Amino acid sequence: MAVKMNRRELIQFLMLVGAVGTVPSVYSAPLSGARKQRALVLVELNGGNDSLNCFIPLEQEARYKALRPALHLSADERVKLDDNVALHKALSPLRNGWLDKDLALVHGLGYPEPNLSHFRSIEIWDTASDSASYRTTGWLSSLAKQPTKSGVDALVLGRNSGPVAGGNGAVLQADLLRHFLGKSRQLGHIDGAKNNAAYSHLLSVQNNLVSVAKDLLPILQKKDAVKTIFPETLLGRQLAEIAQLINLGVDTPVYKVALSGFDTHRNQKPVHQRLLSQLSAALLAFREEMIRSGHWDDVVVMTYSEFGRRPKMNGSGGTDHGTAASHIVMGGKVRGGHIGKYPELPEKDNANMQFTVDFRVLYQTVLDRWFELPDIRLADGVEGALPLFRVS
Amino acid sequence: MGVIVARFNLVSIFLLLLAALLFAPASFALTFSEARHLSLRAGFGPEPILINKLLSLKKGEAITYLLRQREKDFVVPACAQETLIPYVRIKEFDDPKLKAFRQSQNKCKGALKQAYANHLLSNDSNDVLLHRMELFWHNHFTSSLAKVPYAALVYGQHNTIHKNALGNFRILLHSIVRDPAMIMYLDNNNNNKAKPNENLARELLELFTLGIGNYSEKDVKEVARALTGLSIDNATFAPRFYPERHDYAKKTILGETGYFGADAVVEILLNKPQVAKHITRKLWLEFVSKEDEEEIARLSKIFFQDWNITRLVRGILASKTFWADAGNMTKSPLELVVGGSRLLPGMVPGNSVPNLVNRMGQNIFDPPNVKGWPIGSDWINSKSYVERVKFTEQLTRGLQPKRYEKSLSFLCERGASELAASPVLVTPASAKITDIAANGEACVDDLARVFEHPAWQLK
Repeated sequence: MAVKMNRRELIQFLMLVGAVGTVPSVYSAPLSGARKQRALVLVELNGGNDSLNCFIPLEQEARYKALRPALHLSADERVKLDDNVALHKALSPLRNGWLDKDLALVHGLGYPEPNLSHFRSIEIWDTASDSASYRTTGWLSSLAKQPTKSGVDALVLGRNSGPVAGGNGAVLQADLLRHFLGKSRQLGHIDGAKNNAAYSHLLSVQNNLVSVAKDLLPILQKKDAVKTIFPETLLGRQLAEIAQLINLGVDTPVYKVALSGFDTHRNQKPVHQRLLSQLSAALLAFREEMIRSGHWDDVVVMTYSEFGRRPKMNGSGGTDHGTAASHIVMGGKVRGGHIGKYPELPEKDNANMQFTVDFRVLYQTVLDRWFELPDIRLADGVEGALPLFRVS
Repeated sequence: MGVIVARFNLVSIFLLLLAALLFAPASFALTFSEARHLSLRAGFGPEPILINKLLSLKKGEAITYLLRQREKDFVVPACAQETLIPYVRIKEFDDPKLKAFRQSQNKCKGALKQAYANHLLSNDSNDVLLHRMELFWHNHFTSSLAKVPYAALVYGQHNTIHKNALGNFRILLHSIVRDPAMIMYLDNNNNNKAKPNENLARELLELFTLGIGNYSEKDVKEVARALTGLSIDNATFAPRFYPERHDYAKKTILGETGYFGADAVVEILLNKPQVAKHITRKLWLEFVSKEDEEEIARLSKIFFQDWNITRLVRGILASKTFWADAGNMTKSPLELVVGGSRLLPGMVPGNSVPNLVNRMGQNIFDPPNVKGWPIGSDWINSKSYVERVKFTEQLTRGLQPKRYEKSLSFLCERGASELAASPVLVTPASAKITDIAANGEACVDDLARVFEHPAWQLK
């Protein structure tokens, strides 16, 4: 089979061999609606989130408890979504989206021959490479067909610009934009030599700042553009800034935030609880604000992390590095529910879970269906086949 | 007869001249741009005292001068030397007492960062290359104040690094594996045979020695087993081996099978040429912008023989590639800030330094994760860049020329743009200013222009 088929060719091929039933019907039409700029908000859970304690597989509860005698969540520490999965109680604000069917849980995300190093594995997730090959460009680094009006092709608030780095797009990275742009406005444009990589990089950062500050500062300074009260955490303030930009029509397609501290090798329970509370409170506010301002259909929020954690707890009340994990995708156009198969908890102690969905299939689905950029192919043989979006 | 002699003399004079031309670069003292390059790359910036010294030396002598070690370590805050409260006692603390304890430790951690910053800033301390190497090893063998509960343990680790920074890698590696701060930072105090914790084992292979791709997941698990039982004493916080926690069964590590413990693992690793290559490459990239595979291979072979760090650094600094690389690297936050302060002593308030460099991405004794701080262009993103520009502006703000006449005459006598790693990038070039008493303001204005230019961020 031709591995380099694009999506249309694949559909035609499947129709020919009579396998069209395996292709979800969402493929037949592009997402409709007025053409506002669609945005993706990536939320990196830095350190390797223990998704097993976020989304508890109720069908495997006995094994889950056996693997985690002191770490499993009991019935009063979780919120049931359905017969299959319960949420960590700290994630209960996410239940709104689940009930409204605009929150999907994609299960078993991972890749073959998983790498258990933080740095290598996040690089794999950021660049959509496979385990053995190295790429220098992020999977969202070449979205821009034409320059955005805002001059910012990706806004990274906080750490790690990996998913958007290395391409031609203009990436802006800051903790919070407001003060930052005030300062940038005072810089000047400089032309210079290109045969010095370190210097070229400095100039591109400076010149980009100059033009962006001019455009975005007035937008950020506008009062009352965001009405929902966001939590006073850094993540909350960052998502509030992103909401403001989206509300006021900024056409940046990719936003990224990060929450750190998920590398819970010891004493996991209270740490994880605190992190998940921060996460869900900020996401809840963001969702409410987007619905309020009428932009929820233009936004997709997606979490990711370098890996999940080991199903078996370690001797320190924590968990070591693992592999497959479930992640959240939410937005007005997202088809809520479970996607993919929850991996089996391993028979063998200290083994890891086997992934069931290659994370690049999720990415490719976002590129094909959300950004409508099927020409960007992440890997041979990887098709954007997840029924993740609704036709409206 | 006379003709022959004359011809002989001509030939010999010609040969002598040829020889003089060929060997001249090795036998003359450094030029200003060479001294500037060495001061930028092996120190914290174009430092007047250092440059003046280097200008009197030949290349080999200049490297020897930088490598000599004569200095005592910095003065530690008293709180980092106090006897530590045993874990068991802390567990008994009630909430207010626990809170007070945490606060006092956090205060002490701040004091420790400040003490080290002061040490780097002080012009009394001339061992800039030693400091650069300390920071290199801090970054290589990361341990973070944020995770290690006691400032004293982080200071203890610093002390180990300080003593061995230009010493022997074999000793350094053995010391680090049994360093209490490292054991806590990478969770080996929770590594026991019933439930192994792989954190130290993995980073030992991936970051500290072999580098990714030179070991398998199986090796990580086996090394973790070999490291079981290596922990710290609950009362004294000294490294301590707990036999009952150790896995005494056979292990197979990197193809060798035996009843290995921590020391054996380190020796197995030190038998691998890939370790020498990995460290040589990393240290090379600390001083040179691009890899030179031939040089890295040559130097790593020598390093593998004796693990002599001084010899390795000397080899890198003596390499032709190093000397042809001016202006191609990016200053780290500490190089920018400490370098700026040592250029104009007093213009950077010492107590602002830990915060300044933190905002630029380099938190002293507290790298962002176990892989350490960024390198090269990764230091620069829109966020850190704005912090850097703010800093360079402050360097000359309110500077009174009269109080800085001596410094200014050095900084402007060749033209301020000559202080940049690659002066051609700063256009227009600065005019030379010799009479500072009359032209101090002009010198300061020009310095401000040069500092705020993007090329100032280069080394």
